[in-house]
Amino acid sequence: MELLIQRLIDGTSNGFLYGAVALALVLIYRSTGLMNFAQGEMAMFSTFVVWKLADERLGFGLALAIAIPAGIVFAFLLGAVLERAVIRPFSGGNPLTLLIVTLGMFLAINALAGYIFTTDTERLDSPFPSGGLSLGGVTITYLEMGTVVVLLVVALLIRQLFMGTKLGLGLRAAAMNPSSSRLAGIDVGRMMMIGWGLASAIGAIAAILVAPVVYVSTNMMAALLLYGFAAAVVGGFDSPFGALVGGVLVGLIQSLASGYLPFIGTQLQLATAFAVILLVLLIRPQGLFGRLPVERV
Amino acid sequence: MNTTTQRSIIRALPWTVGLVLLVGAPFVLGLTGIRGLMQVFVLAVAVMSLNLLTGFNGQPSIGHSAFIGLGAYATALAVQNYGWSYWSALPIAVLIAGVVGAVAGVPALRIRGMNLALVTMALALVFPQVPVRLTEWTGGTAGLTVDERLRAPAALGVADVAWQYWVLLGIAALAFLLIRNVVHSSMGRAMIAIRDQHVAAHTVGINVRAVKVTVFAGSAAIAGVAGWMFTVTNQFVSPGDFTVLVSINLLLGMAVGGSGTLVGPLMGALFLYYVPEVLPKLGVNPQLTPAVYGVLLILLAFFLPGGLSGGLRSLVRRLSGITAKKGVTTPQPTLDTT
Repeated sequence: MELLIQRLIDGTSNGFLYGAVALALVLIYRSTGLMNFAQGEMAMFSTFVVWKLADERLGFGLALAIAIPAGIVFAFLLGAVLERAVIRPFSGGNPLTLLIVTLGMFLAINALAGYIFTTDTERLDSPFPSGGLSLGGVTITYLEMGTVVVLLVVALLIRQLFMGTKLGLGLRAAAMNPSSSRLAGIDVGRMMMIGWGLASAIGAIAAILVAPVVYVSTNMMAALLLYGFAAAVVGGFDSPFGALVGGVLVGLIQSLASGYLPFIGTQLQLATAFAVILLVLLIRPQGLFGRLPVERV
Repeated sequence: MNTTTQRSIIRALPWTVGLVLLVGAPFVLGLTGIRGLMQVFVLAVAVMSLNLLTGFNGQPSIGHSAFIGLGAYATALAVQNYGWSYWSALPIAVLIAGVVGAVAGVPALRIRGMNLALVTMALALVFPQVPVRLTEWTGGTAGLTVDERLRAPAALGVADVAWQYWVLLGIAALAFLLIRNVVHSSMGRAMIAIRDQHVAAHTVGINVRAVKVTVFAGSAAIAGVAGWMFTVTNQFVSPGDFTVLVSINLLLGMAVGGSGTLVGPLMGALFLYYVPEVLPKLGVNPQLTPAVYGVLLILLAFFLPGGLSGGLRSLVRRLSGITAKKGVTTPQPTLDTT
């Protein structure tokens, strides 16, 4: 029983991380209509920036309270610049081209991070105290609690931004109908840049929160990206709320499957993400909260 | 001799010369050159298999590293753990990759475009974990060395390496002919129609589902052949050889050569093997090779969407257009005034 509760807690906390990556993917999908396969690498690069600023041995030894916000701001700028410089020239192009472009970004960012920073695996301290609360055999670490709280706050802020501000109205309008928005005087290009910047920043927050567990390396995000995709598929690719729900569901499925299905064990956990993606796309391709697009010939 | 046969002879000439040169290569080139060309053949068949699916049928795949890995691991396990010969392992490698391809192709009926890319990417990310899970059997992350090599028939009296080279060359040539014939058949026209307008293809009576699953399975089976060739060449397999980055590189090879063309994969394979060899000599840090690849991929998508072969073709067309203009006035497009 205690083991089950422990697995549920770990699954939920991981699930919030997956939900955050999914949220980043969904924001980009809604604004540019493409699946950003480079999302994980953008977050990885930003986490390396935090590591470089904070590390005492190889970096500048700044306090995490400065390094982390700086890394998130960097991530925002990175996303905005990539949208303007790399994605914009292809806007309206065919999906296969955009797919190849995001894969090109994947390769380039991954190699550049290894070249600029290091190909070794590095440690990044947790922004939360170590240890946790023990209640009758079940442990909740402060990192897990902090992760859930931070990501909940981020999700609420994003919701407030989109639903409660004029900028959010512009972002939604530009994503929904770019040409009419342009006629209504909205700077669609700027909205796209902001959308990409926000997505990149959210991805970076997830990466910084997961870094104390998986360490900082050029391939730190491979697994998290796939779980994030699974979460986005479960929730529906055009639903930010669904992304978070999907994240928690995927986290729970992963934790329970690896705990109770002996064949999966620890090495094949990624296979649960694959199975989830496949099943949801087959049974309900629009996800739990998504809308099915109408096909026009 | 009439002009048609003349033209077909002129067309076949570069191919014949190229093939003769390649067949004769073991007598001229050293061991490194031969081994390099063998890697090119492996890459060529791999890119051809991807091109059949993505280039001609429009089904994107980031999962071909997994199909190649299946073929390579099936061969290595059969030869090393069960004492089979390479030749008896070949059908098994093709079958396993093809069956997994068919199973992966069934969801592709309902899943198109980006979603299919996502499913195949998930496959590519999961595959390297499987040998790790089955470490006792596969050697895990350390990989599996195959002691036996593909031996030349004693009657021929040639070195094993030369024999391996000719076998791989022959298989690559066969794969090329097979794909050429398929693309020029009614099947090929159906594939291209589905890529360009899948609803219209359905309307004119093409069995879209059957074609798509068949192409997916066939493409995966050819990728399995590439996996067999990989094990013959390297006599070693490890999970690191079949990561998702391999799939992305194959997509790059396809885009460089020209997707949806027959010669494109050959150019792409040459690119994928020789560019990483040349870049360090130009003073580029080898660590940055993938970055160069990535930037190149983006630039190609923008400036040369037809790849090298498309670029060459339009160059030839432009040059021949200049010569044709002497004397003949080309009809100018007229404005539609109605």
